[in-house]
Amino acid sequence: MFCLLTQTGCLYMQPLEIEEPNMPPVILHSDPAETDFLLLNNDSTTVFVVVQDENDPENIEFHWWISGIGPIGTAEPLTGNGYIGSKLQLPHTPSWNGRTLNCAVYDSFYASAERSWFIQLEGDF
Amino acid sequence: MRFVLTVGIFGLSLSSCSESTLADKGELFDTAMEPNMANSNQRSFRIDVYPSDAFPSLLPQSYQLDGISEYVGLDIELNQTVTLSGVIQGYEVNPTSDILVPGQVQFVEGRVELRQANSIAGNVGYSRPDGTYELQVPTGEYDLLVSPIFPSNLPFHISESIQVEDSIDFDVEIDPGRPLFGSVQSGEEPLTGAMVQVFDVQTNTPSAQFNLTDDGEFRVRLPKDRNDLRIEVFRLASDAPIPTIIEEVQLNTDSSYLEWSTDIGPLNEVKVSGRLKHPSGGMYQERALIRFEAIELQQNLGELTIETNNDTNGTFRADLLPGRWSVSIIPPFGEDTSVAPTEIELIVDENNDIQMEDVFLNASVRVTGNVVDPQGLPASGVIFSCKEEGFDQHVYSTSTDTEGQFSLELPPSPCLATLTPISGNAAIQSFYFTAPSEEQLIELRLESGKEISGSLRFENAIVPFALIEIRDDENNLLASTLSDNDGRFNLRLDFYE
Repeated sequence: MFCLLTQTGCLYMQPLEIEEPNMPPVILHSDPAETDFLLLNNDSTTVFVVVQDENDPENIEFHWWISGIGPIGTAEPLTGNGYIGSKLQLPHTPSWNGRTLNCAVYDSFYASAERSWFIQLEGDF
Repeated sequence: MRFVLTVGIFGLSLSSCSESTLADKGELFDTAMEPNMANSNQRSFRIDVYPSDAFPSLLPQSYQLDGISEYVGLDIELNQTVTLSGVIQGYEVNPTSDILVPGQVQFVEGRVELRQANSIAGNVGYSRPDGTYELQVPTGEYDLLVSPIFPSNLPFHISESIQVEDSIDFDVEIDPGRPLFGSVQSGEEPLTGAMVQVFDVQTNTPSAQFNLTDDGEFRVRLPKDRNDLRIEVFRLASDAPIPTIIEEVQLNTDSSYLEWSTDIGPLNEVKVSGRLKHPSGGMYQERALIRFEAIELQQNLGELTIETNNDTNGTFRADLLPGRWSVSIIPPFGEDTSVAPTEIELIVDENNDIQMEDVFLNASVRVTGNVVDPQGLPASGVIFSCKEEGFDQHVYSTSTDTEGQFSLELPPSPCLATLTPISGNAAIQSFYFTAPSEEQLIELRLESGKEISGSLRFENAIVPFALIEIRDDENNLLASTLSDNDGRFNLRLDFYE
């Protein structure tokens, strides 16, 4: 590497390498919707997110957790026609009432996206 | 000649092939095939669709694939959302043996469920104090299941085969049914601190829950037209060592009242304590879940599971009953991937508090593998996931790199592994797998399988970004995927070739 010092700074003599900026993952869609409650009124409730990452789709990591409880380890990865996602089946757990379910998506550059739902339980059945 | 492991969605077979298709360090992995999961050629299938917020007016529903031989280009028309609403009333008898005291019609506050057979379509809600309810569902045929909460002195109610093709009113009148009287003893004493609930066996419709009285007695009203019932007695406090009693009973249709009593045996609590150790030898300081499941109780009927946690010194304690127990220690998911869930067995004798020996948690095992496509070429971007068969059914997953290789830390216990290729020329495949006790390279070959593809529509619109699950007629999940921006989906399965 050659570097010529001039009065105004350093002159770089090598070919320039263009670095593509990382595009962070985006949560495109989900069920429930972003602003909805997550209603746990049945034996099992399915939650999922659909994610797009334009330059790093093979290295996406999903982290699901319930605030004040901890990580949920039962999420399963999804893929389909260029999109990726993650789904979770939640049991009817009374101690989760009033807490928040969170899903964070990270690429290998640690860029991330996140979505949260307030959990509401109905009934004791 | 070397061996390559070939996996199928319901099985796993070994076949020989030339050395040119294999990586040099490949090892034969010996995994037993589940006989009941093999040869699924005769099954029929179902597509479950969970619309996302990209099409919020639609609800989850199922599409049957019975009698179809070709699964390419399926045009799946989803059903519109309609509302079933109405008022629920019931004739409540007074809790007296004097038949001259009249009862009265009451509005019923309770749990209301619409359920469709062999489908995910349906909904659960609650009627208001004035008895009104509304439930939104996709159009179709449903059973309506009502479980009164207030007044609780009413039986559950089942209305079968309601055609819900448009938004309609459907009022429910619950008759008084007939009473079931009973008591639950614990040795010589009445059992307290427990509840009773009765379910219809066919539909699993629950009654209200009733506390046992101080005399261990209960009274539940049941419908006259349901004779196959399941009675459950369960504890109020989750850490109390009171077994759950589950008993199916067939009732005489002619009797005006019913009786059922049981004795769960004496509750001789034994204090058990222990300490968790990290595989490296130090105290285990993370907060693990410690689950005691009774395999066999010496003196008691029923099933019993007790859960507790360790403290930062790794110590834990629980009150158990005499018997043989399975103890599962489940570390928090994702905190320390070097530690794996661990299971041991414990014998608890009467009148002897137990200080267990230190429990060393299992260490995770690093599993590396090569995945090749049906042509024997490295398959990149394939998701390799493992779902634990026991414990909390945690899922561990990673993707293959451009060389078709993956590396993942797994617990050394059985799991259901799934390979999900991104490209359209290979099938989604599942197989039972137990990570070997030592680090090992495994070789996996994808099958080409058969295509299942189609598009989701509603009226003249496409339904994009929905979750699609394919299940067999025993509700086993075969594959999951997503519909794209145009509502299309496309995957391959090898289960019926």
